[in-house]
Amino acid sequence: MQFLQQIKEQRKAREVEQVLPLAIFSAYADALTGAQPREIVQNLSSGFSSLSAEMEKVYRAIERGFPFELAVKKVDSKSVYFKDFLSELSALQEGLSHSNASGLKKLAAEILSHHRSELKRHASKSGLGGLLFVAFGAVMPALFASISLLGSVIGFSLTAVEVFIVFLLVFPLVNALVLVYLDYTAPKVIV
Amino acid sequence: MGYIIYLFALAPIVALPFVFSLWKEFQEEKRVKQMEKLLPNVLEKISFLPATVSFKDMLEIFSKAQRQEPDPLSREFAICSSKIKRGMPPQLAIEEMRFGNSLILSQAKKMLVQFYKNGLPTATVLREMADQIIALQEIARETEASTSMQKYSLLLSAAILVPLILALLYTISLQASSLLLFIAKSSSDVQSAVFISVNIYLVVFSLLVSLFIARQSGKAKSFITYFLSTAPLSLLVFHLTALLV
Repeated sequence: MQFLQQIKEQRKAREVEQVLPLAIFSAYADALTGAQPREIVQNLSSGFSSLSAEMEKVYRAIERGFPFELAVKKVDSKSVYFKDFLSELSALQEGLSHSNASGLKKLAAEILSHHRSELKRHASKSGLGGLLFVAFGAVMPALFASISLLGSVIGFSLTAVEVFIVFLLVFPLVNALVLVYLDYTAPKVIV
Repeated sequence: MGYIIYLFALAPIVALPFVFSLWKEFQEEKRVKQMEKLLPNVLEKISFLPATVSFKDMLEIFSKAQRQEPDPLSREFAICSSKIKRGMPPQLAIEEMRFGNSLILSQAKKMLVQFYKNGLPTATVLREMADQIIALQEIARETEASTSMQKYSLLLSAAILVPLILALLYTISLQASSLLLFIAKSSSDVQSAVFISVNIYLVVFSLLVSLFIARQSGKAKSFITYFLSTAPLSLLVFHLTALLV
């Protein structure tokens, strides 16, 4: 159960990080045009999927009268970059950051550079993923078809129902799992 | 082979409405992409305007530019400007700008509302924004390039590689089965079960790959195009290879 919860949290963190570069840009543009951190949080409360849900929590807390730095702590995310982003907003609120929001700019550059290294890592892995998919998608079913047709030579006879079950349930399920894995490991940035 | 011919005859008729809607979607996507590409340039151009220029004047300048050098973004500025001239509240006119589903353009809309409320920002700020947009667009392009290799290899495997391997091994095994008739003849039930299963499996495989690619590219509707192109092709490759071996 705890494992499933962890997976769920990691997935949420990934979803947040997908839109984070754009959200930082939005916050940066708002800050440059003179918007207050509270207004920035409000603007981010819609249009950024999972990130907006978290920002809405912050905005509601601010509305209820929580100080900005406490409201920001309402967010419980596994994403380190998202936490850094919230810290930058707090710094902006406390006047620690300059009015030109240079902290946000630096953070955006850091995230983009991290994403570039992720892309390089993915490029080296994607070949293996493709090979794995062809192996599970073509080689195994082809071998199984051969075994089904020539089964009696090796003393391994199958019934028609077993053939249907393996081809129409087991193989598609294995393929779907490989695709889920490929999807999980693929880098994404939503712009 | 008979049902394959029917399948090929029916596929274009079924696909026609989807192809039309996809064509329209493609045109809209092209327009949005063009606007996204032009956005940093527009911000740069705004940064060169004198500080005294108001938001409405800025829109008017872009409307005039549209007449000389038409592009989708300037066209949207021109439409917005004419709506404001006809008495529509500027904020509403900005909201009605047709920027599609683009997140970056919807940010641009928010920026325009800010420009209207607080006046045009300084040239440095506008250039900073343009630089940030260029950086975001670069990373989006790099991500797309990185995932497109996988996308095409999956499509290739669904349409050609998988049916080819299946057809080769299936036909060789079937021939071997008839050669070893006295010791290894599988029942005709199993033979027809393998044949039907492989055909359905190829369709299911194309379905999974199409769903995956459509999901990865964030375009749910493109699933139909991928599926309608890979499923019949994979069946064709399977049957042709089985005939030729």
